[in-house]
Amino acid sequence: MRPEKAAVLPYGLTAREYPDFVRRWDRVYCGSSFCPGLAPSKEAVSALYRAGARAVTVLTPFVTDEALAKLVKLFGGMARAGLRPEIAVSDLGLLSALRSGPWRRGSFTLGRPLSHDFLRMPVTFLKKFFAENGIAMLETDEADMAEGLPARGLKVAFHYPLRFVTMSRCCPWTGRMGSCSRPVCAGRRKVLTAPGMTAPGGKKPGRLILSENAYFFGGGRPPDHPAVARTVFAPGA
Amino acid sequence: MTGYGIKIQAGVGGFAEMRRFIAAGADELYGGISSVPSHVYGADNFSSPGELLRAAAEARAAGLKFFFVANEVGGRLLEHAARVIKKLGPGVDGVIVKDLALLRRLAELKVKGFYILSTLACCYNSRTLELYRRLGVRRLALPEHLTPAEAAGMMRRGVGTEVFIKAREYCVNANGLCFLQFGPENRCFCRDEFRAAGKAFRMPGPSAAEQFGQLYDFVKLGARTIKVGRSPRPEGAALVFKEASALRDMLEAGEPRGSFVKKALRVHAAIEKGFDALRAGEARK
Repeated sequence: MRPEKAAVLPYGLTAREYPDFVRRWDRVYCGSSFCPGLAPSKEAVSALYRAGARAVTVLTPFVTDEALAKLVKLFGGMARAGLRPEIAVSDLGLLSALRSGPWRRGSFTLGRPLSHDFLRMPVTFLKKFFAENGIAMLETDEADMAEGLPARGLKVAFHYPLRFVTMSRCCPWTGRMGSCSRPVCAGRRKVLTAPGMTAPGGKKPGRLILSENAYFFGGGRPPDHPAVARTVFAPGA
Repeated sequence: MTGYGIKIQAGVGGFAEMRRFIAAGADELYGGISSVPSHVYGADNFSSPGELLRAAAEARAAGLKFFFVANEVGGRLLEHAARVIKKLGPGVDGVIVKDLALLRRLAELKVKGFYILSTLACCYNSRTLELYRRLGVRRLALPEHLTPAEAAGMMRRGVGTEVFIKAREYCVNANGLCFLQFGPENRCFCRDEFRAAGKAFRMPGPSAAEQFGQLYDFVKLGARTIKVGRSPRPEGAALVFKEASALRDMLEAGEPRGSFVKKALRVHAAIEKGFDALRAGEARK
């Protein structure tokens, strides 16, 4: 069975442009695994479904107490409006809060900031943890880790063509800690080079790509492995 | 005097360094062993659980607490780490941990301990802290990328908190989520000057003055442990300890925030001269 094909909604795409975008994918991702300021509104998620999106995943990041409360309120509002996207959680506290509220029977994946560590934990622990918490799969961009998984069992959603390198809560666009009220970064990217910095593999000069409040290297295409149940493309990379 | 009772906790890699910190007035120490991964760049570890237990016994005889650090344990070594922690038992005062899987395994093995949650666990909110508290976490090393205002809720939860001197020991990017190290020396590029479309770019972070202001605020909110990290250069760690001691004394003396920050910056500059001398000495070798 071929992997489900997903793509991340480009920031700034208007609702009028949604139908053309969503029809090309089995699933649409929105939001951010790195910045709570980029959470989609309930209206935007509703518009995606109205535009014909067959499935939606909302990405969420690590969150402070304040941001956690806002996201719980947002998803509560979605639930009351009958919207039930899958949620990619990167914060254990957020996962706990959603599962004890209107999302107790929701569908979750484990987002990239969290999945980096979790992918290195024993498979027995992961299976139990996933079953306890309604987690369907891990989001990752690490081809070697995905290829190391057994053919049957844990599933991954593979993000490409960018591979996560690092992130900061001190916003690279504003220089201030925490998210801004209007996304200063929206849709923008910077390509960074530094003497001596090499790409993964150590052969060529490396180019870091700054997007949102995270830095990436260019990654490869998704590996051809049975554990890859979904591919997630980030346009504009 | 404020009566805060702030303690200084220093990371150590061997007996010689440990004894220097005991003599210098440390209140708590922590160390790792070579076979259990912990987040340290180039610093030493004790060679075995037995050696660590001897170090802990010596530290405790001098009135200090001694913690074992196991804060970067991956899948294959998790069982080994859990068994080592069980073996160390009451011979150490607690364990610095990060991994949820390790804490759950320790609970399965009915190992009860005093756990300190590492900055690497990225515990940014009270709900996450509660999850870890139920697994035995009794103290939290506050994530570096968290302001006092953001941490205030967690700090009211009855779990002790620790802070690094972030003006001195600070990861420009989220500690525990950074893979920006390359080259034969595994050097981190976070403080380098990058170029972007022909313009200079530096990864941003709070100023030293902002970091000292945050330290003041964290202590006001209840943080009672200042951490000094392990270092491949024991002389460097000694300088950081000296800085920590001076800051602690000022905080205990009840310096108001504004004058604390000014004095802290002067101390910081003086310690920086010490680092300059260290670097110059190394360059001459």
